[in-house]
Amino acid sequence: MQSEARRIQATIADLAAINADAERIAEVAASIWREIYAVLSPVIGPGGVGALYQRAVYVTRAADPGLADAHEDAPHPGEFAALQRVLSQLSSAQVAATNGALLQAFCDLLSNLIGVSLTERLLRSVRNLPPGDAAVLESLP
Amino acid sequence: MTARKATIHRLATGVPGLDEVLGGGLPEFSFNLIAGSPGSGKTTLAHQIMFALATRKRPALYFTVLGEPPLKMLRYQQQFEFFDSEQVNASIRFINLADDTATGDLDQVLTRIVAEVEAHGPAVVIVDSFRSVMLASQGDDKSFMGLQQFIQRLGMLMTSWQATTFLIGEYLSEIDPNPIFTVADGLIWMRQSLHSNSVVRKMEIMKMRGQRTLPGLHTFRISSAGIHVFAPVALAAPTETPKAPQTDVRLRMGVPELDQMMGGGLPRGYSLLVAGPSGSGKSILASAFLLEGARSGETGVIAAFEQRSTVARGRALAELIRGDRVGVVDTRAPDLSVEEIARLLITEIHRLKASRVVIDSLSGFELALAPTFRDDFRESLSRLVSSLASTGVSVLMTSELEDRYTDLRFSPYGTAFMTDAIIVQRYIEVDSRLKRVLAVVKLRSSDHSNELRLFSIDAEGIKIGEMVAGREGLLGGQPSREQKKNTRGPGADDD
Repeated sequence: MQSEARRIQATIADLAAINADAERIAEVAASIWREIYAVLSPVIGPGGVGALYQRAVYVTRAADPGLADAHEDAPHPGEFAALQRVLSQLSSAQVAATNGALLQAFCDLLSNLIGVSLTERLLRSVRNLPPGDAAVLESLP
Repeated sequence: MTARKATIHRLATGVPGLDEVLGGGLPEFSFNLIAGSPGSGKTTLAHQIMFALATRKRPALYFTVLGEPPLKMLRYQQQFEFFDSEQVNASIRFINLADDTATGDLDQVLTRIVAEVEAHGPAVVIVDSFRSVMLASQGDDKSFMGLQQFIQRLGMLMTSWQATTFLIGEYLSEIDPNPIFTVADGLIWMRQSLHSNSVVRKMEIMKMRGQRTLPGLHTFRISSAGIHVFAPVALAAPTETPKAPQTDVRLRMGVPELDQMMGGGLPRGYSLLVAGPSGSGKSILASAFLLEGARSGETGVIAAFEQRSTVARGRALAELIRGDRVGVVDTRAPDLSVEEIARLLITEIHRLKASRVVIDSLSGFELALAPTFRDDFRESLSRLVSSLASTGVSVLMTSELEDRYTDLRFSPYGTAFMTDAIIVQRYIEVDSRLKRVLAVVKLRSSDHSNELRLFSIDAEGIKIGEMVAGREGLLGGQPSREQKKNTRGPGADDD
């Protein structure tokens, strides 16, 4: 996994490590995806992010069939409500693993298209945790 | 009270040759249109300028509209050396306007552009492509603002925000003037001209307010380094005072007897044409000229258009090339222009501080040119010779000359008048043997020999021998023994 993707995924992994419940991890995951969307859509366009995300879901669901339902996000790029719903139905460890695989697939696709260095440069702007979602972490035990 | 005039700063575009063509750089805060057909290099030009001008303090905003998908644009543009990923999101911001444009409401597009400009205070703003904005606004009665008004307001806003702006436009027609032509301060038109099987990229500055641009079509090339424009050579270095030839300083040619024939050698700064048929030894004389220069501590440059390796030019010359005492201009690129060769030569001359230049041969040079330039070969060559002369170098050019024996020619291009000196080599038949003769035909403002001298070529180079004694009609190719005058009676000519 690329260093920026690893950094982004670390928040999820940390939550899984302290056994936060799946619903909360899924919530954080969705907010991270919204952040990724906010960072990338001005550069590659909402359609571009949407298409890459759909492709990443398609690639990842082979190993994780439950993820197929995340396709329902397609008409609402940038919302990730279906992803959050799918993830929240898994165990904490599974949420982290599935989201990690999805993020990995997404970053690989982006790197294939625009190169590793530009991908890393763009993802560097994804904050560790969006301020609006800080409450999610604070509310954890 | 004296009113002081506004100062227009000119920005260095970072595109080699473009600043010269623009007449000294790009006027700051100008509102420009880059137009041309798909594939003509508009987006590349905009990117190259943007990466050169953007700083963290004064960044560049690149608005992408519906046209080329940004993912693809980034994928391909990053292949260029000027594309520095680290600048993205730091000094360069890409902003996709697809959603705003899709509404067809130009007011919304403008509001969004202005909001981003206010947020980032950019020095450079690029809208790619303008055509998409045009299409989005078409046939939409809801649009509060017409296209012309949009452009006028955009132009005014960008200039007020002190941003130098580029709109990229496709499929714009020169015949059907678009309102933007009037509003824009600068109009850069990029073309791909097709002639026979070759395509040559050309650029024209159709308009640039406030400065004298170089008129005409300027060829450019796109390589991994980006766009390189080849400005006309004669005007390439206006700051340099042309160096006049020095007839009192003579350069040795590397063939001592030839120096004698030339009254001591080639005057410094002269251009010399060596014309002769195939195999007569023109390239050998050219090599001798460079080797002699190296012996006296001078450096040289060679533009070789004949398809052979440097080793074939002789071990000694190959050694000089390896040691960077003689620079070689790469002439293998397809569809060359005279301006490109001139630019390559002059760059190499400056790099090596060279004083001797060889172009071998003009015939090969003409073949290497894109067909579209061959019609103007004489004019272009004349410009090349005068621009080389202005740098103070001495130039030796070779030219293939078919031996016709019916007339006396010095070059197939009528180039003889362009050069200061001419040496002609020819074959003659003597006693059933093919022999070589040469003569110094012209040496401007200098005494020179008028002898036709036999010469031979061996492992050490050219050896000049005696005049052909007792023969006449040498230039006819088949000399006859000279006949003593008055030994035959009238009517003898009739046999």
